[in-house]
Amino acid sequence: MISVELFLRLNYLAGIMLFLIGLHTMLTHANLIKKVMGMNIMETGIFLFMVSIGYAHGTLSPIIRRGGPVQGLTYTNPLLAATVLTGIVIAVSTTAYALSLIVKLYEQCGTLDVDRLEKLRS
Amino acid sequence: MIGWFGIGSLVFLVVCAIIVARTRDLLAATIVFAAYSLVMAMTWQQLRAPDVAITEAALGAGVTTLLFLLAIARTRRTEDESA
Amino acid sequence: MRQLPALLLVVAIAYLLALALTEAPAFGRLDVPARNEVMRFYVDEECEQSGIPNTVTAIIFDYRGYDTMGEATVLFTAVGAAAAVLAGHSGVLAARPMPASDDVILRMVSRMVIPFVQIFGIYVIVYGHLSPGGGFAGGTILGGSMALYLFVFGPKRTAEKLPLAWGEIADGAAAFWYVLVGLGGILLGANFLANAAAGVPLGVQGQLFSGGTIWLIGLGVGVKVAATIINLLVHLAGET
Repeated sequence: MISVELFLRLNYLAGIMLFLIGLHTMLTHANLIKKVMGMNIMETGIFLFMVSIGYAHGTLSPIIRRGGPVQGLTYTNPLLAATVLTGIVIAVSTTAYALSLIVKLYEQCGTLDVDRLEKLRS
Repeated sequence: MIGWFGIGSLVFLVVCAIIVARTRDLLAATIVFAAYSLVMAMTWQQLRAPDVAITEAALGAGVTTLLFLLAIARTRRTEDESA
Repeated sequence: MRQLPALLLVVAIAYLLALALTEAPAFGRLDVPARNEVMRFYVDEECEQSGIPNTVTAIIFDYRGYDTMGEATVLFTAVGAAAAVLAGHSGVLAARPMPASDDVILRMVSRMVIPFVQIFGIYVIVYGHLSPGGGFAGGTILGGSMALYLFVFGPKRTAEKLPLAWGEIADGAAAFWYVLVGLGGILLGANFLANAAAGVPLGVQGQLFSGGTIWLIGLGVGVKVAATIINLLVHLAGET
């Protein structure tokens, strides 16, 4: 397992580990703000994975001057960068809305602990 | 990309994520999250995605950190509620 | 408690992802399935068809402009929902107002730095089709400068310099502008959000006013993202 093949895929491994760390944080911690931080770590881990797919050694970023792509030059995949760009903005939007809900919840109930909130409701 | 800088930044990212998960002080977690976002922006630039790098640097290290700071200022700073 | 089922779930997902990782091609190779004919089409044909050098901006605003319109709608919805949730201070623990900073160094440096940040943000928006950046990155930088003013000088002075009504009007107007540009494509006889297919003049490639509708949409999205950021932060700061 620990071999040259794992070393060749370090970016993917880092993306997967960030996703799992974020997932574990979201599931186990009781504080709501910590859960939102875990969600953000999950999302950035996925973006790292996606941009690593689009990269190849020796390529340039896809800004192509007039006349079309120069012969002999390769470019990275522009589709994945465009998708990740959309994803980053959506992540910030959901984080902002989640945090505004959390602030209002603290004003109404006085606690941010999920276990205590469950007891309050019942 | 896989040079010492690449490997070092990936290890730094994973260590920062573990620190954010384990800290009880939410303000410290927010500051470490800003550093994590900065190194992530540098990683995007090394992976030849400059649009994503500029957007992540401005949004992650800027706006998301500010949103968390405002939320923590209006609620409580530490995670445990035994106070 | 919660710990054991969560740990089991994470271990199960880790196992599945590790299995997928062994099937994945090595990082950075040139013969991976991700570099297929769709990518080759975008790299080869994008320059003549949309008329701008930046491929990522062309994909966002021209080839997949409909998805970006959906994303602008999500930003709009997030601000509206946050404003609706945070309206009124009727809770048990209503917040105290956000204090302004009285540090002299912070105020002096902010006064000097904010105009440069705004110039850079406007540069990134306007040159989004020629160099890396685009509407989203530049709009975020512009909104970040206003967020710096909000944090250093407090919400009251920010409300004097930049009333919340302006931010809301800018947000809605920019979202409406996107739809107007798209309807322009219909008026010219082609599809919604059509650029070159509708006969919009593409200009000389490499000039500032090139790309047809891409430049117009980029300006609108830049204003929209900046207005979204400052609206969200002012609502969350709690003075409205």
